[in-house]
Amino acid sequence: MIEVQVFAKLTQYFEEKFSLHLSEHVSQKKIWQVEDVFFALQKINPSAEKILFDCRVAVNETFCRRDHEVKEGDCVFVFPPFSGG
Amino acid sequence: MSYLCYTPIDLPSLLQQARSEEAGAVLIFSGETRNHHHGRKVLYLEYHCHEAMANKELKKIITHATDKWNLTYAHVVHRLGKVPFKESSVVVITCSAHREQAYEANRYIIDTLKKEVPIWKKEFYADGDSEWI
Repeated sequence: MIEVQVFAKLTQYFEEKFSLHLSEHVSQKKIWQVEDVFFALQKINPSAEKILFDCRVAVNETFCRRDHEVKEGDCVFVFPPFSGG
Repeated sequence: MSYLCYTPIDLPSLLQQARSEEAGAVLIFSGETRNHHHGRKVLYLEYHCHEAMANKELKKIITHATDKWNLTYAHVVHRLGKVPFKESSVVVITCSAHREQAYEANRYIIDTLKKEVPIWKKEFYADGDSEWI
């Protein structure tokens, strides 16, 4: 199980914070990656496909790529494009 | 150090902190709420962020700019929550011996902040609607 937190516009598509069992959404794998989290999110809410494409991600508060490994207990932040300033 | 605040940004105080005998140029950029966006009347903006990551990224940006342009001082403050007209949502201050470095560094800081720092704005319109930007 991993913890997922979404921000800004993504809160219109998902709960702000929730637990995710990747095995329930993605076929059994030995190593999970950030990409699998995106796949699961898209299955949970297909209407989020377009905005998810543009999102960045952080695992345990560090920005990472979509091929970054995700382990049990990790906290994954999914960030829509930033708009500060 | 936190680069984030929930209350109005005190520009005169920031300016006073920035000044030094070595700095011949002190440049302040203030990003402010605009009353229109794509033809819609805007009432105010609301900013949200992930504070720990935003502070970490802002520190990296300031450190990089200070080193690259040999600044005597650089600072950024971003306001969170509701920001009405005529108030700063973000302030960037850069100081250097000569103005070229202060201008270039200031532009770099605000441009990089917009791309790399987890902060988002929501616009609230006169028609009662609101939208994440």
